[in-house]
Amino acid sequence: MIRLSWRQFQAQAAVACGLLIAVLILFASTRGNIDHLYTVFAKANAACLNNPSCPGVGIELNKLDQLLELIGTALVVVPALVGVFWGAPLVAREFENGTHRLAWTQSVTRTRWLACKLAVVGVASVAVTGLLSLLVTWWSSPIDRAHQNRFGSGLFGERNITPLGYAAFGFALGVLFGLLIRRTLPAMAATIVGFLAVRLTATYLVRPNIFSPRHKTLALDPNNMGFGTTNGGPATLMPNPPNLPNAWIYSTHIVDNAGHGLTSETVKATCPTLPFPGNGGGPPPGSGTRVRVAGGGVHDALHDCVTKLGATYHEVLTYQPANRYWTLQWGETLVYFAAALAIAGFCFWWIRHRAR
Amino acid sequence: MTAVLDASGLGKRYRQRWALRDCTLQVPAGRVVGLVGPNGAGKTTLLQLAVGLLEPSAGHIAVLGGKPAENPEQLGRVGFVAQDTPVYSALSVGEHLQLGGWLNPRFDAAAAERRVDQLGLDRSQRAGKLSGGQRAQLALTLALAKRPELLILDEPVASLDPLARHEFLQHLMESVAEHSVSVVLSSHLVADVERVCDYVIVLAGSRVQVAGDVEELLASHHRLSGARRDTSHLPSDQEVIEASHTDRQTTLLVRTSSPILDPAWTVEQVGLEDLVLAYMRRAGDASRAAQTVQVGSVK
Repeated sequence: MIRLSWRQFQAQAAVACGLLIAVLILFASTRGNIDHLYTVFAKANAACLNNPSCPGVGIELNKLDQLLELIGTALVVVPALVGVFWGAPLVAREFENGTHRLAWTQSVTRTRWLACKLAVVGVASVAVTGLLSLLVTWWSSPIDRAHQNRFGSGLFGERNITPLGYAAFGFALGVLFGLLIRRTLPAMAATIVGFLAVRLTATYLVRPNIFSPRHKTLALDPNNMGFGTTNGGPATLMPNPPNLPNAWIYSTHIVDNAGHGLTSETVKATCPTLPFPGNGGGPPPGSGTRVRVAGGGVHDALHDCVTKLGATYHEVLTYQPANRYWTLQWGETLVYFAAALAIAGFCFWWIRHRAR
Repeated sequence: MTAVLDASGLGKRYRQRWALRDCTLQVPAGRVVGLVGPNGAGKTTLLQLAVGLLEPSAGHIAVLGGKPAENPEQLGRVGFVAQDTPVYSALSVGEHLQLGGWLNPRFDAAAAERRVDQLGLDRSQRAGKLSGGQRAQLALTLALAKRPELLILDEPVASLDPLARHEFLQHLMESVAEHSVSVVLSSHLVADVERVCDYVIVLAGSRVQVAGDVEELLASHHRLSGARRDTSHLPSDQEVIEASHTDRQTTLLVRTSSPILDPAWTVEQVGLEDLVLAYMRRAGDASRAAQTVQVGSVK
């Protein structure tokens, strides 16, 4: 039965191998350049930080590399594709064509039939996604090192081991819907909807709440403070991102000792020389989502203002430390694998007792 | 000898509707059994229960003494050709023979290859490109090469043209003679059954109407015709299957094991087709009557 499952999967496996090899060739031929570019960038950046007159260092990737970076982003949809194109049709197509009547009346129980299908295509799903994740993680490591943001809601699920868990889960979900719905297209549709619902819920509602975040209290740093508005709201102080590489910053707030937040009125009362809207030179209304106006002549005024406010106010940082990265990677991967196994178990029960 | 099919009180229900009910049957081994009945009578349901594709909602069924599809051994003892003879359209004829070998420990690959060659099938051709007749032959080849003790075929010739139909049944009978396998095949055409079967089961309105050896059934059913009369005073061993009256004449189809003694009757032999049709019509009348009663009681 393993051989039949493999024979039925051959064409899809060939396509997947072809794509993997294409990605491998593209990545292998461009990785050297990326690495060199970011090494130079890191050196320039370090030199710039020590030089107060340096305005900043930028980096611009060429068109091909920008395109290749998208492959990394595309990795986020690969587990969904695996579920939709490999999982959902796996048994639904047999039901649709009636070939399950052929298969289930050979000298192989339907439990074994399902087990072999799940083994062959399931292992392939995880392996292909795993190899792709390995390639992407390797190729983009210089970029990720520069960004220091591996908890980023996109990046976390596009690097290292989490894609394997998603692939196993997506595949199992596809098989489940195929088994329940028995028609390929509706099963595919259900798979994509179900998979996205679970992934989005887990990413935005569950993941941030697994570990309670740490809090850190910092004195206001006049050299590391911006001033501007968010979404056209009242102008206030805006702390620059703290220097916590790869940490997952939930929020930064400026509060006083009683825990009250810093209001725009307080800033205005303390520092009337700052360019508030209507005060002349304020941020243009309706522009951008986050406007910083610190700089130039405002710089000194802001410096004095922060020093004054620093007597009563401080900054509170809410974050997950960088060293929780692997705990969360393993945790999330294993939870998705466990869900995949639970779904597979249900599929076995269903095919023995419910499928006709 | 154990019965190839042994059902008691067997039933299958889909939500509210019974596709098959109160089915009690013993089919002896070594026979070619025809399962006839109108479309939707429950033939496919009965056969799928026998191969374990369906689970009964009521009663029991034993096939060759075992529970259908209980384990690989039981699966190996029963060959099945499903309705519309499904095959994997992306796989070639040769690959189908291969998968037969992969999935069946007793698979007779040499015989299967011989048969495919005799049929003139190209082994490298995709099964999806085969004609209906060729596909049916491929499915039969696979089922026979399992070396089953019982071969179950669900409407194997329904979609075939008359020539292909004839060839298929011909091949089937040759193989049956060669391997002494019991056969149960369903058809809605009595002519097919008459040609190849020596045992018949009539299924109509989700129930078994009559089942038995074809010769015995033909010997025990008679068409009686005579002057018009009331049929309620017939001898007690004569069961009226069908009665029709004109102004002057009464025609009956009766079942009895004893000879017809009443000289007023003209007695004729009944053909299998007429016999089967009579039982089907009776089932149709009965279900219509039942519906009328239901409607009446609702009011």
